[in-house]
Amino acid sequence: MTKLYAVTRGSKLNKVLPVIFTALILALAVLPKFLAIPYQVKLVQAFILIILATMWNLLAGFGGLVSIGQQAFIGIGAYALVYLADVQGLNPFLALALAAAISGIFAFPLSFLVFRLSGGYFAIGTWVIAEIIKLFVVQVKTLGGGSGISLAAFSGMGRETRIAAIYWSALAAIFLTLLSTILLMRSKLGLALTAIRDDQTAAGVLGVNVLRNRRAVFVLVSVGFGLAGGLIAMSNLRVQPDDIFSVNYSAIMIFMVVIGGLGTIEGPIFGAILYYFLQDRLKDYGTWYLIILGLLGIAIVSLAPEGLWGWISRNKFSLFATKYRVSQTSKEEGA
Amino acid sequence: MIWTNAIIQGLLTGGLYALLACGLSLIFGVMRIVNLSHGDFSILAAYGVVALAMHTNLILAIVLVLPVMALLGYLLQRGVLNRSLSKGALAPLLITFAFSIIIQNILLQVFSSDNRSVQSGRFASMSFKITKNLQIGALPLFTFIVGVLLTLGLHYFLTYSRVGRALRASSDDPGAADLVGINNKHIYGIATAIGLFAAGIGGVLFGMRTQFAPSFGPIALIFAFESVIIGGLGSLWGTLIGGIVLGIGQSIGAQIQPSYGVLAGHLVFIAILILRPQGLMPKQKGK
Amino acid sequence: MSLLEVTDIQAMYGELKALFGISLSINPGEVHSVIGANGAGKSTLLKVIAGTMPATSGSLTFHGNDLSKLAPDKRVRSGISLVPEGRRIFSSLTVEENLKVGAYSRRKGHWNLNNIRELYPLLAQRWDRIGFHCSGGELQMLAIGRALMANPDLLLIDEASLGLAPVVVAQVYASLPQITSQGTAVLLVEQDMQQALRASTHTSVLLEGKVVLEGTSSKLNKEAIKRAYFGIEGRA
Repeated sequence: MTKLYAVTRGSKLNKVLPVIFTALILALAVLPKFLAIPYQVKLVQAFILIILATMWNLLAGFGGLVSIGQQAFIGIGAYALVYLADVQGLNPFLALALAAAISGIFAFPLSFLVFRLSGGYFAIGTWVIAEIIKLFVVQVKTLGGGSGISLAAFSGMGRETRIAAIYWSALAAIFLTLLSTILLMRSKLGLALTAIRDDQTAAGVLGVNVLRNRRAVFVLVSVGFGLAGGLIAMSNLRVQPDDIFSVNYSAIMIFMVVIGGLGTIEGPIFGAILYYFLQDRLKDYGTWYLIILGLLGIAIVSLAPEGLWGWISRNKFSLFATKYRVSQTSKEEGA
Repeated sequence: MIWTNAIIQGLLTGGLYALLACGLSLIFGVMRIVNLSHGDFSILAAYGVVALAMHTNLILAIVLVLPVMALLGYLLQRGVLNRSLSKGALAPLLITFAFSIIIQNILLQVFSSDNRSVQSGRFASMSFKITKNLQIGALPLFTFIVGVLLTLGLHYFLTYSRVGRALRASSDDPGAADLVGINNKHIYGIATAIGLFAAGIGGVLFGMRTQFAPSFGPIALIFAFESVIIGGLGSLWGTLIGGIVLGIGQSIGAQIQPSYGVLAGHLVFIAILILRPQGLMPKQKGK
Repeated sequence: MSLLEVTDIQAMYGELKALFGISLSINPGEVHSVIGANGAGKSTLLKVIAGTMPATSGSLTFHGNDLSKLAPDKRVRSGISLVPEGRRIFSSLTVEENLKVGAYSRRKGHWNLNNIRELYPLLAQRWDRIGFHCSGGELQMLAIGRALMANPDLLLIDEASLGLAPVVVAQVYASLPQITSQGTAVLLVEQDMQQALRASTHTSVLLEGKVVLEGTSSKLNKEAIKRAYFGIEGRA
């Protein structure tokens, strides 16, 4: 009575999907040739939302670090971009890449501070850090102080070219973040994170360095948040401290991830797209729109904690082959 | 002299922070929930008093609002939060964050974003002259006394009352609490009721001392949180001390330059986090 | 009428069946011991009676009332107290406070702080020590004392002697007659066969989730018990 099992990752679906995704990316890449400017702007916003949701999910869903202060790194990315492009006169696209890196560089020492707190207090701790960085930025005259600063680097560029360029940057950014998220989850770090998420103590006993892995993911996602912040600065052409460091970013990210499905890669993307359409429809209702989002969030957490994506897929299939599964390859040989 | 003055004003403000914080500390102590909407409930209570005080006198308004806060806490705990406790650490955090957003926006809808304050008439401007340059406002002094009394009251309640002991037992080991006949869900409801009652007191006094708007909840939460961390997790007296240290830090910062007040408070918090992460008065092991 | 009637109880740990139809009945004031090897289902049986684990089938009646729908805290109110495996003393509460919390359900009866002090003089000496700093023997006495403070009609004791020094075990067992003299019945789970037989009026031997032998403790054949305990030969 021996049963043979095989451990595999992904399914047949996953063999076809890379082709589909490549085709999708290529199609999105040539889109500016055919698509009116307002739609490109909308797509950039959607891309930014997907990046934010994916990063927050990586942090909370895989790293187990629930933060409500990641706007700190969005802000750092945005201000770094404006500073490098305008004050230092760098090429704005190079500045975007550097801004993301700078955000990661800030995250490293800050992690030592916030990692002294755990659970809910970690969450507020990150928020306080974001507030402190904002208060410092407000004091800096070169960054425009409390009233913010405009991005002038694109001023020589025509509107159409500028928006197409921002669109392509956002496309490249979302491609890179998704690709690196998938690669990360398939890497040793990804496995370690999954182990930590499932049972922190057991993972620690098995030799997984919980703190170091968490720090790694904290710094990595901060690069992603910085990238998103840079893109936000590019598309708004202006950075204001009260907006860019607003805790609303955290609220939106949490909403997208929770409604989509925490701890999966597809869920947050799904959640981000859903949120995008929701806010497009509901934004005219002003405050009621946020009240509805809040109630919806509570309902999801209470009734379908695996999120809508989880509810739809029930873990039967996944688009990105990051999960291992066991399957029986032959039945009861020799029985 | 100006420094003595700054320290005394900061000390008195610390009583307010302790009021904003002790409920946060209690709710965390019993259920390990960090209530991200704690500050918003404080502001909600302040608005409640503002709305009621238009029709009746201030004292009656406060007496009416505070029990409602407690009831609201009990109902939210039993109706919503208790369910989330079994779903991991994330669920209650997300739900209280949603509460925060909902409360802020309801307040915005009802009261607009204009600044308001709880009018306490002559009481707000009364002060005692200590020396030529040193005056103590009656309201800050009153706030401080209420802060100390509430901490003292909670301490006695938790140490000597039947329900207080049950709260501590439930915090130690909810499974064993079950076995001595404690209904944990009810006890959690009581913890949140007390927490929001205290948040309400803090909010009303906050509203008497400064103007506020619906968006002030998060600031109240951050000050409360810093008081808890500076004082040390799990200790009520620590929270009071933490509030006082934060208040003094802010007031010294503001003395250097008015816009540095809040930032200086944050820096005190960071310094404690680096130098003494367990806080000034941490809970003893097993205690 | 018996105090507790357990009829054909089954229970599962997830997919794993732990109890395969257990029946027993307990009368007021008697000591009923349940013995068996590790994994025989003794603790599971107590958990099911105390309500911390659900039964998948079978019935539980206490004072003639159905218990199965009651949450653990309600069962304490109706008169069942469990001294759990591992004692589960509240570590931040003092000995005195642990006892006071034991009286949370406010059931009336013989047991109060003074009577517990008399029952276990050792606890009286440790009155203000917090649970965290108590020794194993102190914890066991405190756990029994805490359960008694609810003045139960039925006291469930899980692993009464496990991990304790012989002197302490003797003290714990010496206290049983004083407990039953108040009319309280005791259901005792024990690995030490001799100890259990000496202390109890009735004994049930559990093996792999089933009662394989039961009867009046003094009349049970030692050899038959040993065979039942280890599952040697025809399980009859």
